[in-house]
Amino acid sequence: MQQKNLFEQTLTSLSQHEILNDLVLIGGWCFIVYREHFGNSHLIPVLRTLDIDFLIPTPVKRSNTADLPAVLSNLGFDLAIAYPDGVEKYVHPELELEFMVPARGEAVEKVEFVRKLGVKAQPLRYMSLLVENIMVTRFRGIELRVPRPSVFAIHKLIVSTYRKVPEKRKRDEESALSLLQFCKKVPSEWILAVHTCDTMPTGWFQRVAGVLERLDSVLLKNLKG
Amino acid sequence: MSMMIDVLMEEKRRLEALIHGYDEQISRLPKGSISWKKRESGEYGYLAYRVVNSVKFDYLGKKGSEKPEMIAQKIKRRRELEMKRGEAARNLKQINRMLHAAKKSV
Repeated sequence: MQQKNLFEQTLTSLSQHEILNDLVLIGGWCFIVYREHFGNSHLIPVLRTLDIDFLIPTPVKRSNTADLPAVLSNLGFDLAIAYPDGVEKYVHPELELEFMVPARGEAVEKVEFVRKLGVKAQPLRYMSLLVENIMVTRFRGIELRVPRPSVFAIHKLIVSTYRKVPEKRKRDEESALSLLQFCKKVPSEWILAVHTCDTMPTGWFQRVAGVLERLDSVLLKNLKG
Repeated sequence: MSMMIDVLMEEKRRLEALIHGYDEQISRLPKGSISWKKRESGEYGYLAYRVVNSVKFDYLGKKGSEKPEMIAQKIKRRRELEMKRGEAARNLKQINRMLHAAKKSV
């Protein structure tokens, strides 16, 4: 299977069409990016599913509109629409690709049309945490925006508490914990982790604490400062 | 090891759903190929498809007219989907092999 090739081809194509700067890579493929960023540290897990998830920070700042569906179609992705909620994803025999936007307010629509990119994205809670903590890195020579790993790990811990399937929840918890434990060794990331937990809404932190209490209470104690 | 099995199972489910989706789309598209026949007055398109042991030709229209162009596009799309279905099926076969090996070693 050639998922890594298709992943790189997707990033390259998005970059060539000047769309990649409007996107933030989130989800499982971030681990492989973090690995490269931090010199191939074996402490960063790379077991992941084969979805490519992109967060679109809104409003999109580009001045012109881009035809993102056409770029993806040229890579062999086909649009799949889930009925009745209309959630869209782009499917390929090797990978699937989805777009998310930060949810705004209380009433959450199932999909939001991002006009400047021509795609429908899923509004999701807690995405603001990622949007506010983005770093620019290079992956295989391609400039790419990803969340800061410590915040990515904390976000994953929060989201894991909503997982209904036990295997998926366990996988999210373990990969997030491994990444957070790695971040403990990177001073700038650990400072950000402590600051993020200190300034986030109490309810959000309670979710983080609930998981860490069970999995690594010493790490939780350090996180509380 | 069980985490790897979970990831493989998830990919297996994804590929099965993908193949099912491709099959549904393919079933809605015409089989066969466009055969262009030259006459004095121009080129005319026919949809050529197999029925049991013979090949049938359904008249579509003059080259450049809407119907043959539309059918040609649909057949092109069918072929693209069949290729992707084949790729997904090969990936699924590989996943099943890996799952079998992973479950055996647990």
